[in-house]
Amino acid sequence: MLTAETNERLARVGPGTPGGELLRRYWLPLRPYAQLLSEPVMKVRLLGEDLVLFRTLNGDIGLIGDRCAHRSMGMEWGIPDEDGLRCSYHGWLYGTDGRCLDTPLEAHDSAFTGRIKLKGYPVREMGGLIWAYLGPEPAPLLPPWPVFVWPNAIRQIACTLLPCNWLQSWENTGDPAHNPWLHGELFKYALEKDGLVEDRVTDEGTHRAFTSIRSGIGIEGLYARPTPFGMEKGISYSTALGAEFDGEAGHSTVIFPVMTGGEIGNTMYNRTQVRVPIDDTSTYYIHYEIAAAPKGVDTPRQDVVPFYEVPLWDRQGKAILDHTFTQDMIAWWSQGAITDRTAENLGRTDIPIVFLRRQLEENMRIVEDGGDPLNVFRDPDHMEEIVSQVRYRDEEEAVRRIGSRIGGYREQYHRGYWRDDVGRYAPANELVQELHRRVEEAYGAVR
Amino acid sequence: MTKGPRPVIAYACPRCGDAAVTQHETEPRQLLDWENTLWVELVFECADCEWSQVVARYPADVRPTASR
Repeated sequence: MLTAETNERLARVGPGTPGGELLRRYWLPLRPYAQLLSEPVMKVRLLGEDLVLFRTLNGDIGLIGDRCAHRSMGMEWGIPDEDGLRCSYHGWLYGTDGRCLDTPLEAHDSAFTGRIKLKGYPVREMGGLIWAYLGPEPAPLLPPWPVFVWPNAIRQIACTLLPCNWLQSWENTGDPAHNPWLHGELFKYALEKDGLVEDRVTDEGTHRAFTSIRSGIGIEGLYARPTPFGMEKGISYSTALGAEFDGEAGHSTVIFPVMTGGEIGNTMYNRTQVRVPIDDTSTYYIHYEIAAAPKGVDTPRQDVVPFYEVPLWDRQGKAILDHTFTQDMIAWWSQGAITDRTAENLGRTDIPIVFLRRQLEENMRIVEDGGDPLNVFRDPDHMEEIVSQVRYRDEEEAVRRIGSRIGGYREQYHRGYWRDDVGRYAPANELVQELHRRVEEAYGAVR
Repeated sequence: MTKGPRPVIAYACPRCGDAAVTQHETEPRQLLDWENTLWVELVFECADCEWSQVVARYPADVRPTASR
């Protein structure tokens, strides 16, 4: 249980709040680059700030204040120019850094252009996402996390807007014990309720609902440990308590402060979750997927990383609960806009959540003391450590583990997606299917 | 109503380099046989060569999240 003050401290993201100041030390993904290609001017909100994201005719990207300095017209109605964005009211032009470059209807000796500047934040493109930095200058380096820069891979980006505070989604990553119920019993219940069990569950040994239910048997305890970039956590099992083995089962790895992902290199697949705080009560949730080709296989060509909006509701307005993504979403948003942590009762399953909260608090204090928090990098030589933190340890082993670790591989191969995960909606599945075909050609049938 | 093709402002074809890339939405269609969501796809196409790519997919009644 937290005090109301601590809850506010951890959850709020606006300018001047402890949490907001911490999060402003990081590059955060804002939107898919492909979306900006199709819609070159869009209004966005990030960390409680209303901004306009745009692409100039020269291809440069800008993120500036959302109101023209002349008479406050919304810049989301602006017109892209070669060097910036023009307000559509009287044509005032702003560069990608927010500086006013031209006021075409004013006198030639007008001082506006030298004097006026909107907010302007640095932006970069990496891995098909546009990243923004809203903190104090100088901006730190944009870390090349492997999932976004790994070569020879197919990428796709799932997005959705969550009507709740980001921390609820973040705390889910410190909760490996939700699996047996949220992704197990609820999943099974949803399939039963819709009469889908027979069609969808061809093998209880591998289906996600049933493997998740079994993951709740024989739990001895949970663990959470710091890593160089965040936290690793998981569950300890005991055969004496009914588990199938004695030992630890790792959950996904936390990359502080907003990302969770598995390691690239263990299998062809990596899925990374990113929680982008829009404001105190809404979160832009990104589920980023890559399918990486093993050694000796070239991925099919992908020129633009595509994105997709995940449907949370069907056409009758009923929540789509037969995939894991929405199961997580309903847990987070039903906790409330900012959940009341003074009313919670934490148990042994919440040990990693307590770890996450302490890590947040520690890093907020570092920022308050004027330091750089975890995962803020200013030394380019350190970037190599990030890129090389994971590698294919054994390319053939990575391929074999697709068959041994992921149920329904054959189905994935033939369909290009798994039926019980959000990837079933993904637009690059045909490319993934083609990659599987090439892998099978190079390595033989994977069982 | 499905919109006709419109140009992708300042985006050149990654294959031939021509600037005449257009975008259009496909007709709504069902993606999965057990789920009634209708989907549209956003497709980029080059007017000068054969290049095209699906760059986005979204439910027909949901626009891509541009703001809140």
